[in-house]
Amino acid sequence: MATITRRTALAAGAALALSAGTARAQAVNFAGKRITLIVPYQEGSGSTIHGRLFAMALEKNLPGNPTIVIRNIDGGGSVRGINQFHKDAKPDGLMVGAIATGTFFQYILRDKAVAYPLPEFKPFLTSPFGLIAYARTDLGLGKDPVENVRKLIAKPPVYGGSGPTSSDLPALVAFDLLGIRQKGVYGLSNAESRAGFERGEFNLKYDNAASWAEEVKPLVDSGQATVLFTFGFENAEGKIVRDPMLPDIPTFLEVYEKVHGKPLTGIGYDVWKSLFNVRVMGSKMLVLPVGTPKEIVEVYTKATEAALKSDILNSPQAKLVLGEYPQSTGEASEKIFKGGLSLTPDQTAWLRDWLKERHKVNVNLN
Amino acid sequence: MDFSILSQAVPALVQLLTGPHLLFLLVGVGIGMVVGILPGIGGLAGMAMILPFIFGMEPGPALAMMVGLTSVTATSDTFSSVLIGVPGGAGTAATVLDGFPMTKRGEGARALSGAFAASLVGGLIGAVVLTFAFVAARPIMLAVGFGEQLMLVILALTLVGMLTGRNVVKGLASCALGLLIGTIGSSQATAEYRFTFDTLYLSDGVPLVIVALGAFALPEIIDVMRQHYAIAQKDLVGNGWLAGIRDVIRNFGLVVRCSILGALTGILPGLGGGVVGWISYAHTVQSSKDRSQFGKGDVRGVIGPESANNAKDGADLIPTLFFGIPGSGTMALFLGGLVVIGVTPGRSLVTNQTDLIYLIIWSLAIANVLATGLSMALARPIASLTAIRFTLIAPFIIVMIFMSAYQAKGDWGDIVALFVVGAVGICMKRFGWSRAALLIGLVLSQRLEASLYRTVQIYGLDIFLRPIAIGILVLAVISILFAIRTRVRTSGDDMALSEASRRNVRPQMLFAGGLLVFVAAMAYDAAQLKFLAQVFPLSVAAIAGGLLVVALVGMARRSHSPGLLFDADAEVSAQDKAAKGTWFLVLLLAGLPALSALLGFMFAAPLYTYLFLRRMAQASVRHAIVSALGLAAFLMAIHVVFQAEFADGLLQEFVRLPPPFG
Repeated sequence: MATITRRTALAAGAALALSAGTARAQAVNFAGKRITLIVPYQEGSGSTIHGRLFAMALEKNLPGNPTIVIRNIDGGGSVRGINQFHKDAKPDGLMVGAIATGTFFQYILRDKAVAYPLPEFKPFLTSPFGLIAYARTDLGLGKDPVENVRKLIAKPPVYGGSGPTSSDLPALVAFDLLGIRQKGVYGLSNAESRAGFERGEFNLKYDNAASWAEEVKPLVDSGQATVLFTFGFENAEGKIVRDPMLPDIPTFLEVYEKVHGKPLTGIGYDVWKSLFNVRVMGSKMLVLPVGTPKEIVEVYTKATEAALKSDILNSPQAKLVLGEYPQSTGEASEKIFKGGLSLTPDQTAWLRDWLKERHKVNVNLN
Repeated sequence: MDFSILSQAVPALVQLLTGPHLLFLLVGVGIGMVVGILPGIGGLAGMAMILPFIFGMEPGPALAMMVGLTSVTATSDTFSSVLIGVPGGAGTAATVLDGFPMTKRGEGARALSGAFAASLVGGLIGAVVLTFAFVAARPIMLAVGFGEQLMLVILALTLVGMLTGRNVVKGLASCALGLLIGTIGSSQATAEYRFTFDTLYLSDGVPLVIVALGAFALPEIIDVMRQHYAIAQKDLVGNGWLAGIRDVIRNFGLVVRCSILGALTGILPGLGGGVVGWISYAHTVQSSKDRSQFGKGDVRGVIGPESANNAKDGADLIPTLFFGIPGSGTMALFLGGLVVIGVTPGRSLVTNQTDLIYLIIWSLAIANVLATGLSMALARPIASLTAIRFTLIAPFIIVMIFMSAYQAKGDWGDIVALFVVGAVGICMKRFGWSRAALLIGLVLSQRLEASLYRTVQIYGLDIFLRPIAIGILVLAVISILFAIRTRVRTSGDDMALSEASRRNVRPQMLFAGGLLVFVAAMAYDAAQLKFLAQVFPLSVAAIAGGLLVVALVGMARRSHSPGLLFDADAEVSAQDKAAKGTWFLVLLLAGLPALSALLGFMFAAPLYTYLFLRRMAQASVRHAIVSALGLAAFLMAIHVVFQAEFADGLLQEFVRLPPPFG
């Protein structure tokens, strides 16, 4: 009898736990709660604006209409903020982290300051952003991107940006794969390097494709600059196609094939594709902390889906921030997130060697 | 240049005065006044607070509110700089030099009203400059490349020559130290970490506001606690506000010159806001005939920097609106606000939406007038607080300083750094090392290194073929010659010297030796790095080390060179035997962080206030309890309204408490 009793007790216990589970799923309600969104960059950064936009929309769509406050903790290329997020966040849905390209690269390159287990975070939103590379015409460039790249290979330009281990990494790898050996001036914000470009101090640059109309097109129209390529965009079939916002401009892969006479293959392609996954497809993400229960992730996914249909995220202001790119939620965003972590050990080693040889950067090992 | 767009100025004014704009402008000004007066909150927190509300608003009213808020904080944060010696930021630290001594003399109200009247002039000149500059700004900014920026930084650096204090060697060494401290953090060229002890806290360098608070506020508090019964050592003088306005009228030329200087510093890229106050302070000293009172409460030392600081706010908008390059943290948030209301800074805003630009300019002008009126009305009642027995208000000021510091990065490192800088600042004040020179070096350090590296990469020696760069360099040389010829150099700390300073030189030599050890350690650390990361810190360390050795040798030989041997403590105790020792007071300050480490700041601050009032001020139990509870309520309010965070302690490691307690 004793065993039966125990079994009954176990069954009862299991049933209780189960019902508690479902009860919790129904009871995810943030009424009167304050949710903190940690943004690991400065006030006024692209991530902050992106985060604020979604915070405003999520406040109206999360159950119980909680208040969402933004907390900027910048430093160490996003490492400080995300370390803090990992340390402070409980798996209760009351803290959300905004991660961006830097968070990935510092993790992939195993910066020794990194104290967060990136793959264990639970993403519920990814926002892609296309990239466009361009150069100044006073180097003797014309309208044909392929010819232009050939000229830049022959006559190395000067590039201004934030640095080889920052979110510039994919663009620098791309230039290098093409064979362009530009001279780098680092430690600059995007706006500073754009001003330097306009003054003619730099002559090679890339930008977020969403700022094409405002920032790049006027330079092209006035004849100061000419476009080289976009990074392209991965469609639903997993194929890299032209950027939906700039369909007239060839992609990096197209230009590579024309310049070198054969498509990019091998480890060079694999590394480029992994960096593309992070920099373009998963450029900005919102994540929940390690160990967040499925129910809470689902609540966030549903709220985000609803938010994406709301007026706030379809306003002209929001389009200015997000561009025309499709936003991914739930499982789709999880897939992109995993894609960003797909570098194999030999690809990572390739990247480290490249950083060391081409940029004299020794990546700190754990 | 096409000035025909100026014709849109009047319709914009009509729009501003008739629509809902004025109401939103008033709201912005109101919030700006409050956040500016509260030490440690500042424009940044104010902008963060209103940002969620402006989403979806019409651009016009939203801009009026944002401009209203940002343009008045430079006026309202003068209260804490002048009255309690706590600067609102690195830029306003220059106001402390003469403003606080005036308060001590009982002339707080006069200093304040002078500052406000000067701010008004500065703000209006800033608006005028913005009006014309935005027609011509693009060509100007395109002419100022990285090479010209380097020369501008060098020109700004030469102004240190006026602020070295009596002893030039010690003053230059202080500046070199500031430059060296500025290299802490990741190097711009190679992203290598320098002198960070593997902490993430130092990976972005020491926050400027921490140095401003540590080097200026803490030593002043100690000084007042040691000697004085109240901040104002004498009876409050007169009504104040008329006297202040008279000061501004009498020095109108100076105010206009400083305003133009401030506006130029804001427009030209490469210098940044932190240095504006200092540039105009140095200019004020440079252009005055009688320099004997600077640092002891010369009203010109208040109105010069204040007019420049306010003129800069208008000019700051130029790089923000034209290139999206924010000159300050507040401007960075302003930029974020622009995007939220659907306005993208850049070419199209400046060419196609000139109506918005004029709205901004007029908002700026009207906000300045409103802020001046409000501040003038508040000057007298708030200044009268300085006649209260100091031990009764000291705990609140100490709490404010530590709270402000924690807002820099929201990290315990802020508090540790504040304490370290504070200790060094106390020694610098005591032994006559120029803290102004230190802060200028620090403010300019990163810009100097970055523009040097960029200029070498882009131009090499070709920089000497660029006419504008050469022009600025010539100005720098003239400025140096001026500094060499001058006889009186101030640092804000000068006092009459007696033999007391020469009796015991060991503490002075120990401090200088300590600085030398720090320089050597920095040099050793930098020597391990790549060439581009080490060349700047090593060069600066060599200069700093050389100057320190010269100073040490002079001290050992009991040299009579002016100001070399100086010990304020010895001078004071020679006059007043009852004065409390410095280190006792430092321990008293340490009580608050120590309690916070145990209980968390939210519990520690009221408790500290209670204990301080009971023990040090002999206040009644009721008075102490009411004060402590009032402080707790105030901290709660700040947490709720401005989302300020407070430091956690050991208690919070074990017990989970709801915010703001944990």
